[in-house]
Amino acid sequence: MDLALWFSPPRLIRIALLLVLGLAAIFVEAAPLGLAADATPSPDILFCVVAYWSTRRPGSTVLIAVFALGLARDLMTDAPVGAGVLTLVFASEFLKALGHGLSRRSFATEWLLLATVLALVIMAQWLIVLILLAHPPYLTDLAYQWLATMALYPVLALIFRWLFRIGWRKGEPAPGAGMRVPQ
Amino acid sequence: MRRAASPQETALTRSVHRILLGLVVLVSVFLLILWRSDNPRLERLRLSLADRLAPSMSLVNQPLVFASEMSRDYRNFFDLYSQNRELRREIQRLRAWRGTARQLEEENAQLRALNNVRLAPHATFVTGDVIADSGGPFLQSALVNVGARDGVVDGSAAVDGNGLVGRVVGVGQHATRLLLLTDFSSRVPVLVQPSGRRAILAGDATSAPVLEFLENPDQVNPGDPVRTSGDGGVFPPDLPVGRLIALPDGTWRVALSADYARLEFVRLLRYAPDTRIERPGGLILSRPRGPDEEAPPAAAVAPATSGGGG
Repeated sequence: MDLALWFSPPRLIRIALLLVLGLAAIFVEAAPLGLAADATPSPDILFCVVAYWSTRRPGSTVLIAVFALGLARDLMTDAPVGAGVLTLVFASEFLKALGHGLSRRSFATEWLLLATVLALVIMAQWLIVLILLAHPPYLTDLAYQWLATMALYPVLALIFRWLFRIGWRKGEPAPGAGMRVPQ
Repeated sequence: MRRAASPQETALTRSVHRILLGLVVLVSVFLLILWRSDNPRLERLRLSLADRLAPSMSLVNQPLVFASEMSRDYRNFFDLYSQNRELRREIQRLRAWRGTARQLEEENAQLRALNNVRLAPHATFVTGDVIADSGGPFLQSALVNVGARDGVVDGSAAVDGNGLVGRVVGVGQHATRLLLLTDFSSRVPVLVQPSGRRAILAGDATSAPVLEFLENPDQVNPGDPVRTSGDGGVFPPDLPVGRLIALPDGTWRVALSADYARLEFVRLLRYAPDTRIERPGGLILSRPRGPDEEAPPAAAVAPATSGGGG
């Protein structure tokens, strides 16, 4: 692997930006806005951040960074520790593998694909909790979380695109693109 | 240095990537096992992270919470003036009451001293700010910004102004984790008044937890106040919990008094249970001396404390 490209400052900055935004997403998710049991569960903002980075900058979405963010979220929000991080890492790897195949598609296609991936992620978490014989959450709550997340994704995508200038790359592949699994 | 990656290098990168992915799976499964077996190490990890992140967390959260409260209370801005006046009036009235209460408390204390009354120990408390909630649908819990440094003890009861909120399940240096009454794993022994029937309040992620193991349900009525019973010595007795609701299918639920929708501050009670009588007292008798025993130190020996020496 090309070390100079691997540790190039722009790439490190993008990784740092991913970590900072991911941490901010965790904080917002954990903000005490709905403590009542019947309050709507907060959207999975970290998934939005990681999904956006995995499709736009697959080279900078390092596995370890995604793992660290997922683990921090699991620990901070008292989710089943391990289930959240495992599903997040696999979702990110899958989206990275799709990579630039998505860039030629419309935003609606991307949105639909992410909705499917998120539904799978949530169902996987629910199944893991069920298999471990813990009490799984109500499916209606999970459905609300899914809806809230998918409603939020276009807004976040706009913010990342216009505020942080992270969009589709044109032409040359991202540094570290060799990590991508061939399609 | 800029050159195309050779096939060997790509293969190497891929295998490194696969090994990393395998490691991630292993670590996640290990963590899941720890989580499921309620390993204390995981709780410590959680709270050490919370300790580190708590200050920056409240920094990010405060504007959010403030904005949500503003939008919720936006109507209040219109009658801010009249509300202010009303609050002032109320403060005046309460000040008068405070004076009276202090006077009565003093008088009460004096009378008790005269009569040699020994009271159950008072619960002291620490008040904290709720800085985070579990967010997701998996667990009903909250993080409070006081910890062992402020004297919070594991297992303490958490109350708001109206009633019981939950229980402390993890204590860090600067942060404390609360399990709310509504969580699936919350079980609290309670007492239905005025009949004095005992039951267990079991959370099920709805806003009104279920009352389980209620003895003689025909003696309780909807609307009866429910309080903690103090059984088990974890919670102080007589904390208000809520009011009874009867469901058409014959189950009983409790409408909680605590205002979960506007939970900003919680009080964490420090409570040491009063002296407990664990078993019946031993008989005080003189035992007949056996042939191989040494001479008893005294004629009357309480069997409970004699051990092997008597």
